[in-house]
Amino acid sequence: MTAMSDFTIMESAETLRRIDKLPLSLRGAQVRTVLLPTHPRSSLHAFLHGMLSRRVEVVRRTAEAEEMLRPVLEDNRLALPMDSWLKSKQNSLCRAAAAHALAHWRYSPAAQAIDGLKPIGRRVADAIEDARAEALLLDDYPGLRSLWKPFHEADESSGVSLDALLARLAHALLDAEYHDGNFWVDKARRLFDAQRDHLSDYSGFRHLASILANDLGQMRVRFEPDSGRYLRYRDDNTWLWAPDTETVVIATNESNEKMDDNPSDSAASGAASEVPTERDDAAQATALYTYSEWDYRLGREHPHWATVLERAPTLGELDAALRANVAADRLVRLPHCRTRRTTHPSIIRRRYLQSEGDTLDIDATIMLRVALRQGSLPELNVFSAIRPSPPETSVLILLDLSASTNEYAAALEKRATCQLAERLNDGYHRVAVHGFCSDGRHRVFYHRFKDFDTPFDEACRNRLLCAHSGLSTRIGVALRHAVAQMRAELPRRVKILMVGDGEPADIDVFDPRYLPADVAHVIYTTRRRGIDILALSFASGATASEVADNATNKGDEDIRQSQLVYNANTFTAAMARAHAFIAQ
Amino acid sequence: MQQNRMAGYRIKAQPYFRAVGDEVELFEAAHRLKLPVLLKGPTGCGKTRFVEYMAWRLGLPLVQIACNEDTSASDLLGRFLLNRDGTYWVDGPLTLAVRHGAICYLDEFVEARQDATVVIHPLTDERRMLLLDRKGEAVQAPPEFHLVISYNPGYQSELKRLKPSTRQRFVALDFDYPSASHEAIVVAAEGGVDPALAARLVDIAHRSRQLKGNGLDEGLSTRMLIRAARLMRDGLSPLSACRLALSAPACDDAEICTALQNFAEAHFSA
Ligand SMILES: Nc1ncnc2c1ncn2[C@@H]1O[C@H](COP(=O)(O)OP(=O)(O)OP(=O)(O)O)[C@@H](O)[C@H]1O
Ligand SMILES: [Mg+2]
Repeated sequence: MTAMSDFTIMESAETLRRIDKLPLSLRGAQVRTVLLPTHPRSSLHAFLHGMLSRRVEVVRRTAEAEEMLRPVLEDNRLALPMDSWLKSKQNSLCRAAAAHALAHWRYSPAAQAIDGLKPIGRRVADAIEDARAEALLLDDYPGLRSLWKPFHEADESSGVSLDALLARLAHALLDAEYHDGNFWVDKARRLFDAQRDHLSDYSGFRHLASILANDLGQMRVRFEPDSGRYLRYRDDNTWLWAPDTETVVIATNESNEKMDDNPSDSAASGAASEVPTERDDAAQATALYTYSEWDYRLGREHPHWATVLERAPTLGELDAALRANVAADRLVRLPHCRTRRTTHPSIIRRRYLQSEGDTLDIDATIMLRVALRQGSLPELNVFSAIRPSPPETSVLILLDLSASTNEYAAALEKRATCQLAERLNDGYHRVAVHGFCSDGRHRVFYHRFKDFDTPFDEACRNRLLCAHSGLSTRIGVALRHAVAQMRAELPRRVKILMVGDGEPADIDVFDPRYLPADVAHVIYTTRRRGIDILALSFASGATASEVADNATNKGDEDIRQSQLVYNANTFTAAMARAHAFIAQ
Repeated sequence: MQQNRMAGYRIKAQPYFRAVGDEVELFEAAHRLKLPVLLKGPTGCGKTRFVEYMAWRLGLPLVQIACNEDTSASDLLGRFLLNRDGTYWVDGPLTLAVRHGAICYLDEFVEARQDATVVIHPLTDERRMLLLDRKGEAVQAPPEFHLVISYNPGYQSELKRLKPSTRQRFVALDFDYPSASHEAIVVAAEGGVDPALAARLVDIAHRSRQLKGNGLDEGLSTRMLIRAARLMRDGLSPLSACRLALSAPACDDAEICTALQNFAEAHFSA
């Protein structure tokens, strides 16, 4: 695992976390979720996923430079304080911390009642539980010892403060070769070893911890809070204990607020659109399809989860300004980029059964001789030739028709689509223009403005320009349907260009991470299948530049590219990017 | 002459095969009723080994054909060739298997070209007949002839699926990696290592199979585990053997390779 790749992944997870903290009403409007360009997988994620058989998140904990923070565990998340670790040690600390988290997740009971445990008692219980969980994991995975061992350095020279004693204890419990010499540490080791055959007996070790805590009291060892100096790979163990009542109260208040937010939210979106009734949908839809959806919390797909209804779009008035813009776009010269026909291996093919060519196709030639001798009609196309194959690239433009794309963005989207559909009508490309919007998972509406084999004529263009924007944006499901349409286009090169605001949302989804994670999953699996995808995002001036600014702060080229959001001023750049993507 | 021709296709010694369930009985039933068999399952889980074992058990020659996207009808049926005297016909492997009543195993059959898939249609319904249209001959399959195809539903894209008209001509046996203990026995036996070591290798594979669809197209297969085991028995250190046989070949994504090697490092220290 390289520090760099780890960094980018944490960045995106961090972005999501920041969104999490915002009041719900702000999430959709001002914060743009990042469409992850590929699946975020660092070796750390993959290691934990494989070991736990479920997906967990690894995020970065930010710290002031001097602060000594510990990793923090949650049920499905591990936060690593990368900034407070030395660069040279980050890699090994990350791995050791992940393995320690694994030990807790596998073997430690979470949220135990504190039960009047004194602070010093809790620290001893923490140390014993850390050692117990690690020992259990080592039974199955002895190789992990070498990840932890380098951090167990405390010995006699560290002194007899509480911090030092606990670190020396941990050292003695992990490393059989280490002999401490301190009476208390040696006693602890003896008692621990006596129970090693019953490592899974949690309460037995809690009892052991309380004996040891008592001893410390009699030794007049003073309580001190964890300085974070020793064993920095170990988490702060908050996950082990039930939160005290104060925090619980705050949490409930918060969730009440959210409850208040929701109804008004959905009411607003309901009012904004003339929601068609269930019966209308059935009548209008020409076809129904079901698709699965990715649930990032479960790390798997819900099968048959969402329904796509194909039907004609709702049409509004034709906007004269938009029409004029589209006409003007036609006159703009773009740097002419066409598919590089000579370089791509899939575009140049040896074609058999040609009437002329550079070599004989042996099979065909023999068949010709056979036919001649049999006196039957010979097939004369016996040559093979290297030929570029005409219309090689199929491009599906998938238009976001939801209400969240405001009028400003919608106009830009339509202009972009028109321009692309017209320019790509050059004999080398096959173009389809489809659009979608959604109203909950069972009503993802999908409209076909233009199919691959129909012309982009005046009527078609008008329908596109008049299409009404409304409802929500369930991108993942629509994208799955679009991918299914591409199947018939193979073996041509196939590309999907999504034109929208890049922001998935739907009325029945309240977890702001759910739909973006689904989209990331579809994009990832689709790309693996050899279908290229680009999301071209438009927004009004202010939002666009804000997002672009955010993007430039990030080092990663890939994220920056996929995050770019265009407005009217950067329209030409957007088109150049779309053409480059198609020509790629 | 006929016997000689097939001698190379006979399986001389009993192949090692450890049945998971009743697949042997099911296959024999399908053979009695002349029903072509579709073996579904991930790569390296023992499909080929099973067919070899069944061919040995039934005393039939086994013709194996690995299909790829260039496999055409003539590659299966045969073609005319030229010599000094003119043209002459050469049987393809499928034709050979049909004429001599062998088991014909078409590995990864979905990969083959469309024209190859339709060739087997008359062979797999009541007609049991192979049509050599170029030669103008119809070969009737003898009762022993048995067609078996394999198919890996995992990494095959949606774009490459068996057509229903092909699929519905077969009875199917679902193969998957066996339970951990069963797989460890196979790895220990085939790899020549002790059961405890084999169990560790199987655990690495189980971890990797969690990542299927999450960075890995396919988890580590039994085949790979056996290779790693053999390398260890040959004296390679466990971590080097795992890198050579498991984590490096499994995929091209550096992060995933690292994670796979980390699974190995959790079991074995340097
Ligand atoms: N049940 C089993 N009994 C004995 N050996 C097995 C069994 N399962 C797997 N093996 C071992 O696994 C190896 C790989 O199996 P095999 O070659 O049959 O895989 P496969 O399913 O045909 O894979 P592919 O789809 O890639 O062709 C075999 O060489 C054999 O050593
Ligand atoms: Mg801990």
